[in-house]
Amino acid sequence: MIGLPLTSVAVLLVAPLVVVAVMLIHAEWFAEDDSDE
Amino acid sequence: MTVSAYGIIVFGLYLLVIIALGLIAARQQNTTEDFWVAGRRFGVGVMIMANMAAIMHGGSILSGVAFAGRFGGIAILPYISFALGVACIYFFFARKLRRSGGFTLPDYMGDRFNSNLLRGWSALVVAVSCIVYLIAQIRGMAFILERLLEIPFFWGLVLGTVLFVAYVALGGLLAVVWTNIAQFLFMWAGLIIIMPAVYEAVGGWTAVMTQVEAVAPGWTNVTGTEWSVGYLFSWYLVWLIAYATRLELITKMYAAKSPSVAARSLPWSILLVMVFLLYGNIYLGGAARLLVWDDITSPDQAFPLMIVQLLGPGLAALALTGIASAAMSTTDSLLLMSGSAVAHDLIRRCFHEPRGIKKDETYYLRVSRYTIIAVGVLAFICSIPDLGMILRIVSFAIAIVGSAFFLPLLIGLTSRKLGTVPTLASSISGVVFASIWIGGTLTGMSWAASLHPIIPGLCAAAVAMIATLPFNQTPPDASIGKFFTRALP
Repeated sequence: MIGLPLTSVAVLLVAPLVVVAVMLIHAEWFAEDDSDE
Repeated sequence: MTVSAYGIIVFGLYLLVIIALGLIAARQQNTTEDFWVAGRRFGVGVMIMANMAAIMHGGSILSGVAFAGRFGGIAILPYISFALGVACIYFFFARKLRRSGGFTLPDYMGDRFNSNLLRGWSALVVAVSCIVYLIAQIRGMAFILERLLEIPFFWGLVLGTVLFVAYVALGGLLAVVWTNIAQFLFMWAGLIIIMPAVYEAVGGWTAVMTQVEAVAPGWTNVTGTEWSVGYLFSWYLVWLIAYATRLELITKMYAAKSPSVAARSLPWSILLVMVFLLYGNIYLGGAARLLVWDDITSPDQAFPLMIVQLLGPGLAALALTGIASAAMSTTDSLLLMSGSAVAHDLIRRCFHEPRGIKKDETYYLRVSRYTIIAVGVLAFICSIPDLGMILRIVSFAIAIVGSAFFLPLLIGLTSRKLGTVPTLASSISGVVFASIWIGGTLTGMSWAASLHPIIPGLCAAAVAMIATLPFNQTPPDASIGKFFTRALP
């Protein structure tokens, strides 16, 4: 796939994107909106 | 016209823009809060760009291409570590640090654990690690200036240091953030300019991966051409800790408009960094392996040489200036941190305030500017001998910072109970063991070769923390309350 073995694609791209997606979803929908003190 | 003639014009114009920004920013520095945390005025958009520019150091591209070319793209690019490290800052550190209203990482160590000893120790670690980090950046800058202006490497070191020191000493964090954004745009321009020429020479992504696998078997595998699974694991651990304790990134959290702005900037920053490095390291690293590998003596020379070979002199000067931008945008953050570590953390918070000595703001600004000059000179002297590839030197600075601060940050911001004694024992043991290991690595000791210094450093930090837990005393509520909003159950 795209010139890379499947395990490389999983380690390089898929796993980190899942972590970033969790952060983005948390930031947009679940984080408390704490304006400046 | 030659590359050097274009180089003088393009790089000269670039410097004029950057120095002008530094001078304009300097006129707006009235308080230490302006100088060190830019008046805490940045929104999500500015934070994302400033975070990215601070993360993407000179080595990210120059030495990233060198490492990718040498060892194989997948092995060197630990995205999962970047993502998990930033997730640590996002979930555990960012909001609490910003809410505390501090300026620096030593502020956290001093305030959270109610200890000026920890504050002073942390300031020392920050200053020393900044010098190590700066050595790498100054060398990276010199490699670029060598090609760009066709000057000897030594004069590249001199010029790089003078430029770094001059505008940070003038402008403070406001200058750093403004120039970071200008540098960020230059950096992208530099990388985009070479895209068509590289595409024409070696083809698209799949073509590069297929060709590079043929000339360097294993290049596209998870472990690259020569790494073992064990070494890869330690490399991934290094970068996880590196990103979780990234000084430039953590310090930027204090400059956000609010705690939620600080946190929200993080996932977008790291996503864009990942896109940037996929092209800037793996694609270009593969292309460098195919195009220039036989013509270089050090892998760090691959990227500048590829630019000069593929582009005409004018475009080459522009692209090299873009990469110089990446080195400059990290270096200025580091210099500023070393200035604040000495002026704000050591002199003001550890010596003057406890003794009731009052000095005005201009005194501390002056001290921080002198510190920036001293650190720049020291880093310049240390950058003259060849200490190896840039990314390797960067990883030594990371080992010191990670061993000193990772456990105090993670445990100190998730548990209220952790006090001064285990934190100090852990931080000192971590730095001592990591430094011994770095010394062993640099002097070619066989016992040091198998493990990256951060692993013994972190293990020593963990053991020392556990061993001294019987002496732990929970800090007073006034200290903990800055970081934990809810009262103790």
